[in-house]
Amino acid sequence: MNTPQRPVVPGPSIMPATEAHPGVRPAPGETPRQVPRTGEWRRAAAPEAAKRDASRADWIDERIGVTGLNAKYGRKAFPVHTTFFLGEMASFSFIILVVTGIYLGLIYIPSSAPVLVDGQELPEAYASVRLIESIPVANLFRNVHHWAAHVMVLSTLLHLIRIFFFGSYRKPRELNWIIGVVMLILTLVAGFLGYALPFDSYAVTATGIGYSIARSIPFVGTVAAELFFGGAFPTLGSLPRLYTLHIFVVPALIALTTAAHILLVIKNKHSQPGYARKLAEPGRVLGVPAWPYQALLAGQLFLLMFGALFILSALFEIHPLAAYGPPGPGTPAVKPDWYLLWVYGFLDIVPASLTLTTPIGTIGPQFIGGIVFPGIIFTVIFLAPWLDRTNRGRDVPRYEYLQPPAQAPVRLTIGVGLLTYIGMLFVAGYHIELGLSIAQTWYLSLIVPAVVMAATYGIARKRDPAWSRRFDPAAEDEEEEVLYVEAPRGD
Amino acid sequence: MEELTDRRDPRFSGPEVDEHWMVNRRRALKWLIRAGYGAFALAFALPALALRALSQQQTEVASGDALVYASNAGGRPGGEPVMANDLAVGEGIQAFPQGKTDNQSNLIEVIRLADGEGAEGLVAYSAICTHLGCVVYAGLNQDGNIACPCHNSQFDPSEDAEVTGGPADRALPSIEVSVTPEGIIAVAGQFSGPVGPA
Repeated sequence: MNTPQRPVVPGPSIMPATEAHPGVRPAPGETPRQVPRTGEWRRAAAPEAAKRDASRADWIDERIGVTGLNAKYGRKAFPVHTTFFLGEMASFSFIILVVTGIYLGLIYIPSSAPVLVDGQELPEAYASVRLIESIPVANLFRNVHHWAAHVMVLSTLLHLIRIFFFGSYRKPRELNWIIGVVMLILTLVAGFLGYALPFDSYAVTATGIGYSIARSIPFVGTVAAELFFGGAFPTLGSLPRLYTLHIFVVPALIALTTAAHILLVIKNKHSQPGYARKLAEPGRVLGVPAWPYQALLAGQLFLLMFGALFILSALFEIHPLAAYGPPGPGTPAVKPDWYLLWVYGFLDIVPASLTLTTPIGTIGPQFIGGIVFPGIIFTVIFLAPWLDRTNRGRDVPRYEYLQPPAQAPVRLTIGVGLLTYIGMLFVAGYHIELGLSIAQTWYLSLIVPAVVMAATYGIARKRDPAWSRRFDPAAEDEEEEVLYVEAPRGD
Repeated sequence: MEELTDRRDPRFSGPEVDEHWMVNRRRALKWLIRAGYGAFALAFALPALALRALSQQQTEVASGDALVYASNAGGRPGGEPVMANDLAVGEGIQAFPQGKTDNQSNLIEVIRLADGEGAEGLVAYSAICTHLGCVVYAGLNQDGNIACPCHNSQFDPSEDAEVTGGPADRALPSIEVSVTPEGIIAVAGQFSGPVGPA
């Protein structure tokens, strides 16, 4: 029997020009070659099966027109660069959270009513989480759920940092920046709501602090807090309310904003590294098509993440019930997870003397530390596209390429400064353990970012590293090593 | 010549009318629709307010309530009555009014500052931090202050629990205690102010 003939593709492995994507320039002296389109391998390897596939595809196509969909979206080019996968990691974490969350929801009971377990009176939710812990696979899923939450916040944050430092929030992507920051806030809210569910001592303390912060909002605080927390926390109404928000309202909002986010990426196209300009015509994106190459990469990434989370969960148990025990009359000394620790740190060092009495109510340190301060930080982040000098005025160009951080020293300095300041608030969260007084913490949290910012600015003004030039769309071609996107080669 | 009544007719030359304030059918209907939106929003907002009222009926501290240990403290099991003689000078414990353990806000911090007959030398405060509602540590810290585990607010028990450090902006509310003939510490008044973050 003959070995099936595969299409052998001569020529350099360069992302080729195709009918749907004519935008790639061949390297000088080279003739562009065709990369096999989807299905070509199979038609060559198993013609009979390919025919069956085709007839099935026709059946579906005549009814819902997937070929058109593939022609429109399947050929969307995705730039291939490590940092371009951070957003995908965030959405994959979300999928993992939904899958594991559904499983946990089969066992979990959102009720704080007391039940007798082995002669001990426990909140029903706590008892149900204890049941989850006693089932090995459920316990594994609970750990994966918890770890995935950390990964989701982290990858969302890194995604935002990457977009910021490379100036990709500028025209025409301002709206997507806003949506992205909203998604970060939703992710943080989802994480916070998840704290409450096991209803252990930690959960009651952390959620109680959130409740008190919400109540400290002048004028609307009490109503808002009791609406959000289902009455004066903790009551029997609290857990069902927080549970609904955690498993339905916030995830639904995350799913909707994710859809809007991706649609806008399709509409505006990816911003790309400068080297793409040397291979793709202006207005076209250098990358691999969504189907099948990007889908394959993304699928691998998803499976890799899922596997890694399982290994992580198997090796490092996170927040077991026994660590804090059922809620009692006392409050354990707790600190929130890293992604809320900066707010905690600020609450720790905001002086009590900041209390103001206004006609609409008292503005206390709780409101300033828990609402006003994070509000200011997020407002600054929201307004980044409008604070950026290069994005102002009527005749702002459409920024289609990343701007290397070294070429935007002011942006780099502000970003690094803000990150350092947030880092110093982590220190503020541990100021007692570190033996720092509140005054010392204040000085440190202002001096360290200032020093780091000065150093960053100095270095950024002096140096223009080679990798930075590679990202620069305006860089000269000569010393640039042309980057080829590897396409599968026939063997 | 026929009389022109239609103001939209270009030949019309009636008295000048400020168009902006003219009521016509289109404007009236637009306002009606806007009012409809408003009513629709209100129809959602009002039931949402009703959702708040899921709070349970909770017990309140009353004068005369005997105090029981909130949890195990120094070999004395939770639920046992707090005897005035049990407390050493400088010791602080936390107690609930008997039978009123359902409401965390009833938690009372009792501290013996000095030896004395009856309630002399004893002080009692709400154990709920006025910053963000955590329960303060039962025991005093090395400076002799009541400290909160959450954000390290500190209160001086010998000075009406005035704030001596940290982010809290209000003293812990105090409460009078007396000692019954059996030697049990009991509540003898009300909290001097709102419990927890106001």
